[in-house]
Amino acid sequence: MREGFRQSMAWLHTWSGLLVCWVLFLVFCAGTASYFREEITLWMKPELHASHAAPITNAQAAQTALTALQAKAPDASRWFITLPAERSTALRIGWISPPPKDAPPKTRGKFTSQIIDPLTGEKMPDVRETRGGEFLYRLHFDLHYMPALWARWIVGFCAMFMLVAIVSGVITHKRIFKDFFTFRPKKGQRSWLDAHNATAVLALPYHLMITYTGLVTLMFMYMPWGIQTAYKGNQESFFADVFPSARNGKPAGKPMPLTPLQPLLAQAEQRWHGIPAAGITINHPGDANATIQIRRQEEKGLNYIQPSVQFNGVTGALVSADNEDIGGANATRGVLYGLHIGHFANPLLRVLFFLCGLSGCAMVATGALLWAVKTRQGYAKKLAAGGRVGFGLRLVEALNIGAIAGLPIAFAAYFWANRLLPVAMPKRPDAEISWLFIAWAVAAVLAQIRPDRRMWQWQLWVGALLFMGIPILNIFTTSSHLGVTLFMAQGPWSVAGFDLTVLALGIGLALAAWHLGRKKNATKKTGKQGLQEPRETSEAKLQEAA
Amino acid sequence: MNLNPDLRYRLAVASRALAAIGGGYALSAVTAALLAVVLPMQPAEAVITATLLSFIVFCCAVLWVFAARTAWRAWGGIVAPGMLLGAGLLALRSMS
Amino acid sequence: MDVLDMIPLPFLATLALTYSAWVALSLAMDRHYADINGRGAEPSAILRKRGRWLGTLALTAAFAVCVRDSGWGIGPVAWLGTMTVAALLLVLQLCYAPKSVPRTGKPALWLALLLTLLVLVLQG
Repeated sequence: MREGFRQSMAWLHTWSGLLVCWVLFLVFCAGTASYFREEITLWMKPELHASHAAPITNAQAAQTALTALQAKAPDASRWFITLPAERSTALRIGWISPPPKDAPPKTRGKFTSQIIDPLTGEKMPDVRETRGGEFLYRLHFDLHYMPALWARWIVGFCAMFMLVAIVSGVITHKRIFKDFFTFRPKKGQRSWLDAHNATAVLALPYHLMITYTGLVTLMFMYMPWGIQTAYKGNQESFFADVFPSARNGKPAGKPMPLTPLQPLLAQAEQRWHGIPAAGITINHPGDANATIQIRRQEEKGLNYIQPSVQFNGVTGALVSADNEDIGGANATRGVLYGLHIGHFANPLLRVLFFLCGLSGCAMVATGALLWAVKTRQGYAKKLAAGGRVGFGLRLVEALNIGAIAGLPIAFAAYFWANRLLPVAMPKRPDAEISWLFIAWAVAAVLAQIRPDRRMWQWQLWVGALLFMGIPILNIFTTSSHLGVTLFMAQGPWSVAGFDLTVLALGIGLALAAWHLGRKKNATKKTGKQGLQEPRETSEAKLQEAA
Repeated sequence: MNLNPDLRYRLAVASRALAAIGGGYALSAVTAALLAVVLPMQPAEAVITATLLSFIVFCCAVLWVFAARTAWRAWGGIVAPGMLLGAGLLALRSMS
Repeated sequence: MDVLDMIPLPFLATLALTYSAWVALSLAMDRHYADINGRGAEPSAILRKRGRWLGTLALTAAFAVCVRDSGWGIGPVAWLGTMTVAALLLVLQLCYAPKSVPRTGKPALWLALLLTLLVLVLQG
């Protein structure tokens, strides 16, 4: 740290990156998958693949939903309706049951959610229960097997480290322009560095954006101090100002019938010049203080904040129109948040984001591997004299295999479980998730036992075969496999896309595994265990890392 | 202090890490707190602006700590601005 | 115009423009000029200047196409994403088939011009 500026930044870059890289790899992989979470969820519910009959209007859908809610959850304190949209044609209802009378104060009510048939209001028959892509989305900030709050602090901590790593990386990269297009394979450590630089620099705007905006999504949790001083600790007041549509008053205790929804929907959509509604929240239905909030569908802009209108739930009178005039700072926050979740992206742009995300996965993975290769070379003399590597290096090498090669195995296990577990089993979503973690744990433990090149090969092959096997598994377990969706062009297109993507990722992993297996003439004299030869091209790296 | 060089290095790293992570967070927190009341905007807008900027302050603080040539400068660069901003906050609070 | 609706012209134009731009910029660099023309070969001063100007111009044109198509919000995002993909493609090409770069670079430039014209004319 007493050296020059660039050198101190190099030190900082290495450590801020290395200490959190395995968590970051998970966050990047799960986050990249989240760009297609709705499509993944659809793939994981083959019962929904057959296309519906006539399309249904928002008014009809809302009415069906309302009737269903009145039947299923008359005592709920809040009702939610998510109307069918482009990427997710399902009609979804949800409700929060009030907590039991003897529960401790401030207990949150239980939230239940169901997809219903838009015509009958009945729960979609025999749709297998799964958390689908939503689980992968949640995984990337709520992790699992721990309270969400802890997970968000952990991920936020790692994101802050990542921000520091990116900035220090740019500062320390002397030849950022000269080496812009440089990738030299088969040169050992140099190739790893090239791959790390290429995946990092070429998608640098994306990496900076996604890291900073990731922090922005939970900014009030990580940095509540502005609220504390400006609002004198009154968080509720601040949230009411910034998130007016989340208002949820107290029930009056007096039962009153809910006003009809159709005219309110019509009024809202007229106010928005025809842009349809996306969802409806009903607070305290059947109570005198009921309120109905209707959100507009997301328009094609970067800002994720959408206008909404609030009506009195009994009289139907317009109470307020929110978020139509957003202040500059809030709009900035909205754009930053919107950039992170990427809802504005059309399919093409979404694919570009996905590729940049894969680049991010590759950046993290190559960074971790570069450190291990470099450090192992530092041990060359000691090893030649019959010594052993230090604890730190062995740990990192084992963690690298378990976290990087093991993750594709874990994700693949999740998709395989979705197809193989019985449709009607109890706690099915949890079982699928368990399989993800069981597979990952096995990979991680095996990696600790034997953290060498063979283990890399082995795990990459397993991951490759599992991924490539998914479309084949689809043939045997559903009637919406590639033969139907792609070759007979019956769709759904997103299901075909999923099959093709996992196939491509599997091929990438196989290429990586095969490349590792080719014992080229060792460029280093030691030729012992450890990754001394570069494994593959950047592209295969990108695909393997996902 | 006559510590062996390895231990000295580790202590130096630990000290800088503390300054960067703990001190950096404290500095960005007090920046957010002060800016939120000082910026000439609606309160909600000021809070959002202050909070958005605080992460950048945090990042810069970390870079400073590790770029500083001596441990004194590393800590000083965090503590001095922190105390200044903190004093500003206290002054404002006593005025209102 | 149904078929044309399916083909994302602005994206293809942007891709061709950014790819050509990266080719031009890389050819103005010692290392990649040498990749193609043999070790020790250096681009002349004129070639360097031309490469840089052409590259910058093409990147700017790509930006304009993106903003024209998707507005000032999404446009720059699409521009950055396409630049990334085009750069990744060129990196692989320079690594595994450097001599093919002039062979693909020139047609890419003409294609870029054609596609940009089409975008301007058809989506006026």
